[in-house]
Amino acid sequence: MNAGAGGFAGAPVTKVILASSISSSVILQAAHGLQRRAPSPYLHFLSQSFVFRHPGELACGTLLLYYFRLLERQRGSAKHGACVVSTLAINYALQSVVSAALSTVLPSGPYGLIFANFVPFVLDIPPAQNFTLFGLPMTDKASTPHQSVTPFKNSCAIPTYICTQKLMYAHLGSL
Amino acid sequence: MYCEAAQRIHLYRQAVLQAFVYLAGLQLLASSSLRSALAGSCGLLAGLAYQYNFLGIKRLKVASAHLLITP
Repeated sequence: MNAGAGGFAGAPVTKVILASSISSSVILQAAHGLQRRAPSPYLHFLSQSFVFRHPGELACGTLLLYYFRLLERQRGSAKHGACVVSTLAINYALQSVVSAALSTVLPSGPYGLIFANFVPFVLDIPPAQNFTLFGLPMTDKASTPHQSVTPFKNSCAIPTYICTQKLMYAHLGSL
Repeated sequence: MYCEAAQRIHLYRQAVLQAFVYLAGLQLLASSSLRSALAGSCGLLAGLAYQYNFLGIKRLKVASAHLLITP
């Protein structure tokens, strides 16, 4: 499941979100048996919106978050950061209303981020080709943002970009 | 002939990629039955609210986010 250049070239916000989500999930899953005090509201907000409580959910959610870095590459880090912050806020408000109304505890994890990213993925990204496979409508959305990866002044972006360019030239030379 | 086969392989690859994205989403929705479906629909609602600029929320900007991260 890889769209565009591999790694986090041009996607620093996604890198921070993924690193915090994975590390805090692993630590809290390892410390599951420990007795804890009830967390303060700020900590509850953070844990509710970043920490997965099951390894299976962690795997799926991490894959999807990593995949949706193509959205950040398309609209830029500043805009995507604003989108992430406001989406987290709206999602936390909605989740607390729903869990209070139905008196259940909703599972924690970045569900809000992941499923909010599905909306612009379906609506905004233009496909270059539409085709059908076994009667199902399919597009080639996944490969669209190849062109939009630009070198940022990022510590990891520039080596990745140079490597990609070298690979491209190597391919051209072999032709 | 070669070009046609290569293009068909490219299209199949795209289809598999897209199917994986949606299947992973469905798996995440169904992971703990009703509760995770509720959480996912909250996320979808939040995404729709941001997409259609609910209460003018797109005005909020994090202009210097990349300045904090990049050296």
